[in-house]
Amino acid sequence: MIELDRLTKTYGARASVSDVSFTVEKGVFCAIVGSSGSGKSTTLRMINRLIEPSAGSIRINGENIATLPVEGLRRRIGYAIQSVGLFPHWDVADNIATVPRLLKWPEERVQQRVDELLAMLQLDPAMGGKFPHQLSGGQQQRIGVARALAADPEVLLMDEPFGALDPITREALRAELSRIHRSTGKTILFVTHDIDEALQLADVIALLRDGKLVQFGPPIELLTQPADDFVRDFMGGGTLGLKLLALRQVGERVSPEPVPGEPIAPETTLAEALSQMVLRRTSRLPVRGTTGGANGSIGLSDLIG
Amino acid sequence: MRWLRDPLLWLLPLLLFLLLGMPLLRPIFAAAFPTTTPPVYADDSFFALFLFHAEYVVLSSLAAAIIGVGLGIVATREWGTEFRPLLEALATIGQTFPPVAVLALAVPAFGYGPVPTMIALTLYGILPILKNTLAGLGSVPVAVREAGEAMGLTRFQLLRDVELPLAAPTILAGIRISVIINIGTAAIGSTVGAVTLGNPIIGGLVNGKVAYVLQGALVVGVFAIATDLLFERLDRRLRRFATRD
Repeated sequence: MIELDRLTKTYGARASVSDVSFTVEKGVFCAIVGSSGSGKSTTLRMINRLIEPSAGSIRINGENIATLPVEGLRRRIGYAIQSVGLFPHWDVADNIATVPRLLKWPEERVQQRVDELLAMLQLDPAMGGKFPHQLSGGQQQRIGVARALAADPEVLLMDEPFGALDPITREALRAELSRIHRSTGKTILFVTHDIDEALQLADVIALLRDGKLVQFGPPIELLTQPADDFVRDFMGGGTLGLKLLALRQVGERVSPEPVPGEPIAPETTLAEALSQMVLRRTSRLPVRGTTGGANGSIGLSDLIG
Repeated sequence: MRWLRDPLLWLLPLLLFLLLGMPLLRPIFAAAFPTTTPPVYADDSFFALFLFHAEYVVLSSLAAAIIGVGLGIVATREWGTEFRPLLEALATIGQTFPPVAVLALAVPAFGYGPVPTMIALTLYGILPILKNTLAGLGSVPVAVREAGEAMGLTRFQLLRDVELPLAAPTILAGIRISVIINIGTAAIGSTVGAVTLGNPIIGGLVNGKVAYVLQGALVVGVFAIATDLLFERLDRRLRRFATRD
């Protein structure tokens, strides 16, 4: 559990982060969202003390981090950034092994962990001997994530980790991260300016503006009960309804009435279903039955819910 | 037979031959310079001169490397950034000085003999090393340094395991320049009372014996080129992580 308590960072007279408080429960994926200069990266970097707060405090599992030795704290927290920052003179395996070696794990266990992580990130085990410059951007970021996870940290901090990747790689890595989050149950704080990325990944969203926390809550709450016009606009303004559809799956709204045609999967989002209706010029789509059950269907009016 | 193309393979035996076998070249020099007697410099053995010369260069370069890299590290630490502009200016201004001038200035300050020579060599040798240390440490990508910090490396570990290895090729290039300049400048140390490979050169110039100048210059030249090639090899080894395969 991470508690931010009236966290403030000022540079001269200007407050980069002011009076931000929120609590992220253990195992929750929290997206910190805002436009450039909203203080989201500064907030994140105060959690591993790359930046020291001017006022306020942060507690991890009840411990005030300001009282902990800084290196020890950082070795407990995974960190991945957009520019990755792999050590160019170390091969992939050594890069991943950075924190386990700092923690003086026995070499055998380090090797085992490196293999485990290469597998988890769906990388070729032979990649361990390569140097960062030999890898594509997407591969480098996978290694960056593997390095952040290496010592099995309680908390993972990510600062726009997929921002510099092409859309297809980015999508693949988001899915990967989602899967890792589900399987490891890590507490993740993820900074992004991309609201769609936040909606896709996060359990809770902290929306910052000019260093202040504007709204904090589950995605659906920010979409349906925006605190003010800024939140409404940031969440998508006129396309808010479509974002809402993207959060729900067809399976929740399916009706037994069968219709002909190629069925869609019940995990399809309502937004994709709507898109299919437009493409197929129909107001009712067949839906594949779950686990051998009969096919059902979903109609345009079901989307509205 | 790729290895035969390696110039170092030829230069090191050539250097050894010049140091030990210069008297064997007597007929050639006798034919070219009939008025010079003896035709080959014989006041000291070239090998003994080389040992002195190399000792001055090694000791002064070592001292210059320790001081230059040390100052460079200090100036790039958080607490030492205030020194950086001063050191950078000194390194730049210092390099516009010809090395001979440094030697000439060392005499009134430190007197005659090998000591002023070594002090002058050290002082001059610091400059390229300091400059390159600053450049090398400065070129470590911010993201890499930040990642290292965030992983929980201590400042010392960050310097030892990340910053210095990444800056090493640039620092080595500075040491290389410094050593090569020192090999040349040490020869001039003979004018201020140090015994070096410059003895035949200076003696030859004073007494109008061109053959001695040529013999001394030949040895110094081959020494410098061979040293440079050794550094090149070291450089290639240091950069192996940065070369694509």
